[in-house]
Amino acid sequence: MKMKRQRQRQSRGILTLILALALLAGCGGQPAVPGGQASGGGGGTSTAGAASVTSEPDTLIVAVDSEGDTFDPFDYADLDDGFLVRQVHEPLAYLDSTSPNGFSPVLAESWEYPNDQTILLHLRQGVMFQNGEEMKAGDVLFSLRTTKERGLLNPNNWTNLDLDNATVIDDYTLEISTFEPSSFSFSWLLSEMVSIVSEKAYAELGAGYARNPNGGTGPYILTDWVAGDRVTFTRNENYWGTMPQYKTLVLRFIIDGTARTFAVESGGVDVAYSCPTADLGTLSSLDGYEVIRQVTSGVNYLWFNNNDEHLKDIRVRQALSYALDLQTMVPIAYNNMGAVADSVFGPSCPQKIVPDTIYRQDMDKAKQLLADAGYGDGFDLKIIITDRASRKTLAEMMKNIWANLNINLEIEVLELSTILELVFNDDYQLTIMAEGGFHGEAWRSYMHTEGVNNYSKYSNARVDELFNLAVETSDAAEGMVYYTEMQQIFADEVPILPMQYDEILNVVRKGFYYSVDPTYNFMAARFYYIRYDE
Amino acid sequence: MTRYILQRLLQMIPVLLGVIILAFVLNEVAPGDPAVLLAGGESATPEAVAKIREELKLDDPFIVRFADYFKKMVTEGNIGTSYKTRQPVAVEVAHRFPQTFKMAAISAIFASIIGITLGVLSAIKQYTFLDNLISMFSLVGVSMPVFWSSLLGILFFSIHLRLLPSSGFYTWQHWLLPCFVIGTSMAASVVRMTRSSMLEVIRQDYIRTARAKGQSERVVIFKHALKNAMIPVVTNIGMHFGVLLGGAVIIETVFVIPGIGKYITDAIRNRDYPVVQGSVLVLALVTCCVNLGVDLLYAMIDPRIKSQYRGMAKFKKKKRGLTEGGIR
Repeated sequence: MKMKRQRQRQSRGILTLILALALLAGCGGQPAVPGGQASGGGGGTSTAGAASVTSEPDTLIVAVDSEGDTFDPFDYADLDDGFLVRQVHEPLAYLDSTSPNGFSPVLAESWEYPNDQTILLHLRQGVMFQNGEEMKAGDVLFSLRTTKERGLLNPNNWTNLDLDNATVIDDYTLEISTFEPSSFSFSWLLSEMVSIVSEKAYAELGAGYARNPNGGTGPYILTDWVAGDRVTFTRNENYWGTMPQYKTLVLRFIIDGTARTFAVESGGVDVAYSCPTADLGTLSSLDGYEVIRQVTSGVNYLWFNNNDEHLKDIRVRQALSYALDLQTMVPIAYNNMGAVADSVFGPSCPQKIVPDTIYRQDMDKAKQLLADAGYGDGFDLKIIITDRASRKTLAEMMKNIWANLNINLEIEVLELSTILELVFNDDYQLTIMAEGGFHGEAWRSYMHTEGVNNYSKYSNARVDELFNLAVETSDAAEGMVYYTEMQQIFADEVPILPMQYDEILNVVRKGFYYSVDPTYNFMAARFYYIRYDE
Repeated sequence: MTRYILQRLLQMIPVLLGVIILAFVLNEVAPGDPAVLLAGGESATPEAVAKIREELKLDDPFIVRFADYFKKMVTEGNIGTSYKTRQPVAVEVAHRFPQTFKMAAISAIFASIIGITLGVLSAIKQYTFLDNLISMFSLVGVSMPVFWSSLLGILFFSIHLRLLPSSGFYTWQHWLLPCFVIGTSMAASVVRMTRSSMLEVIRQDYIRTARAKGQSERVVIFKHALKNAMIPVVTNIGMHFGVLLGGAVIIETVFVIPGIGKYITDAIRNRDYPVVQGSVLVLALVTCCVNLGVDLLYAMIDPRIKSQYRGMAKFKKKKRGLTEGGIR
C-alpha cells in the first residue's frame, strides 16, 4: 500500500515536470507556420509585433479580403481570383500612367504598329515558364485566343481582333491584325487581365490547372493552398525579372473586416488589403504601420432606370440630382473615404474630364424642374440596394431630402443577385452600384444603347456614335474630343449620377514600399512588388 | 446492444432523407441567383449569366435537378460539386471538418474538466463563499455572448499582451484563445447543470447509506453521487458538442478558422447550393451520430439504462417468439 502511494506520488511529480517543461517550451517556441507568432512580427519580418523592420524578411504575409476559387487565368472574373492568378502569371504589359503610350513592357519587350491595322509584338527572350519550358510566340497566341474564347474580358472588345489569322513570325515575334482600323483594340492584348500561359502545361493539366498552376512566368510558385485559410507561394528562382525580396509569400484570407484589423493590431500580418474604413482612426494611430489610402477605378453611381415612366424625363433626373448635397452626403456615407465624383468616367481613366454641368444642391432649381416636368406634387419612387452601410446611409439621406420635393422614396435592401435580376429584367427604378474602368471605352458597356451592362437602359444616338468614333480613331487627341463631348452629354442628361470615387484603405508595415507604380500595382494585387527599405 | 445501435442507425435514414429534401427545397425558394454572382456580381452581363445558368443546369425544372442530385448521391456517393470552386463538396468538407472537430473537441474537453470539477465543488460546498463565487462565474459565463468574449479575448491577449495570435488555427497557441472562449462559455453551463444535478443526488437515501457504511467522502461523492448525477451533464455536453460540430460560425469568423460553419455561411452568401446541401447533410449525419454516442454513454454511466437496452432486446425477442408460436 505504501509502495503504491509512493509510485503515485512519483508519477504525479513526473507529470507535473513534463507539463511545466511543455509549457515553457510552448511559450518560448516559434510557431511552425507564417503568421503564427505570439509576440513577434509577421513571418519574421519584424523584431516585435508592430516594431519596424530590422532584418531582411523571408516571408511577406498579406491579409486579403476575399478568397479566390481558381488559379486558372482564363477562368476568373474578379479580384478574388486575381489575388491568386496574378502572383504566378504575368501579362504582356502593365498599365503605366507615366509611360507615353500608357503601358510598360512585361513579357512583350516592345511592340510596333506597321500600319493602322497591325501590331507586331516583340516578346522577351529567355523567359521560362514554371514547368521549365521557354515562353514562345505560340504560347502567347494560345493565351490570347483562349482569353477571347472564354470571354474573360468583354467579348465585344475582342471582336475586332483577327486572332485566327495571327502570324507567328518567329519564336519571339507575333503579328496580329484587326478587321477594322483601331489602335484601341490592341490595348486589349496588353491588358492586365490577359495572362500568358504555357500551352503545354495548360493542355496537360486541363481542369487541374485551377489548383496546380505551373504554366505561368510569374515570380512566385504555388506551394500550398489551405481552403478557407491561406495560400503559400515560394519564390521562383528562375524568374526572368527582378527577384521578389521575399522567399515566401503568404496570402491569408481574412474576409471579416474586423478580424483583418485585429490581425494588423496584433502584428500578425505585414500588409492588410482593404481594411474597414470605420477603422481608419485605429489603424492610423498604430505604431509601426502605415495607412495607404488608395483611390480605385471604381465609381459609385446612382442608377436611374431611364425606361421608368417618371425617370425617363431628363428634367426629373436633373431635379433629383440637384436636390442632393453630395458634398455633404458622400463624406458621411463613406467615412471620409474617396472623393465626390464629378464625372461619369472614373479617376483612373485618362479620358476623364470635369464637365461644365456639375450638380450642387439647389432645391429651388430642383422644384422648378419637377414642376416643369409636371411633377410638382411629387410621386413615389423605390430604390433597391445591398446592405452595405454606405449605400443604406445614402438612401436614407436621399429619402429625407427628396421628401422636400414631395417624393416618397421607399428603400428596399436586397441581396446583390436579386438586385441584378431585377435590373436585368428592367424591373426597378433606382439602385446604387459601383462600376469602373481604365479607359473611356470601358463605359461603352454601361452607357451605349447596346452595352451589355447598360443597367440604366440609356439610349442616345449621339453617344453611341461618339463611342464608335473614339474607338475607330488612332489619334488620341481626337479620341479625347469624343470622350469629352460624351461626358458633357452624360452630365446634362444624367442617365446615371456619379456620386463617389471609391477609395480603399490598405495598411503596411513601416519601411515597406512598392518598387513600381504603387497605387496601380497594389490595386492589381501584385504583391511581389512590395519591398522593404534596405 | 449491437441490435440497438443498428436500429438507431436505420432510424437515421428517414431523418437524413428529410434533411436532403428540406435543404434542396429551401435553396430553391431562397432569393438570389448563383449565376449572377459567378458571372462577376455587379459587372455581370446577362449573356454571361445565361451561359452559366445553362452550364449549371439551373434552368432545368426543380424535380429534374433534385432527381439528378439524389441519383448521383445514391449511386456515386457524390454529394455535389461546388458552383464556385468546382471542387467536390465531400473533399472540401473533409478539409474543413477536422478543424471544426478539433476546436469542438478541445473546447468540450476543457469545458467538461472545468465545468464538472467546479460544479461538484459548488454542490458539496453549498452556500459557502466558494459556491457563490463559482455560481457568479457560471452566471457571467452563460450570460456573456461568445462574440463579445472573443473580442475581449483578442483585445487583451492578442493586442494588449501580444501573447496569442488573433487569427488562424495552426499551432496550439492559435487554438488556445478560441477554445478557451468556447470552453468557458460551455463550462459555465456545465457547472450549473452539474451543481443542480449533484445537489439532487446527494440528498438521496443511497448516499446517506453509503456514508453510514463508513465510506470516505471522496468515494461517496465521486463513486456514488457523481456517477448518478452525470446523465443530465452528459446530455448538456453532448448538445453543446453537437452544436459546435454544426459550426461555431461566430467563433470561426472572428478567429478566421477555416471550419465547416464558416464554409456554410460563405456558401449561403455565394448561393453555392451544392455546398449548402452537402454540408447540411454531413452535419445532420454528424449530429445523429453524436446523439447516438450520447445515448450509448448513458448506458456506460448508468447500468439501469444498459439493462433497459438489453431488456428491450430480450422483450422483443420474447414477443416475437410468442407471436411466431401463435402462428404455429
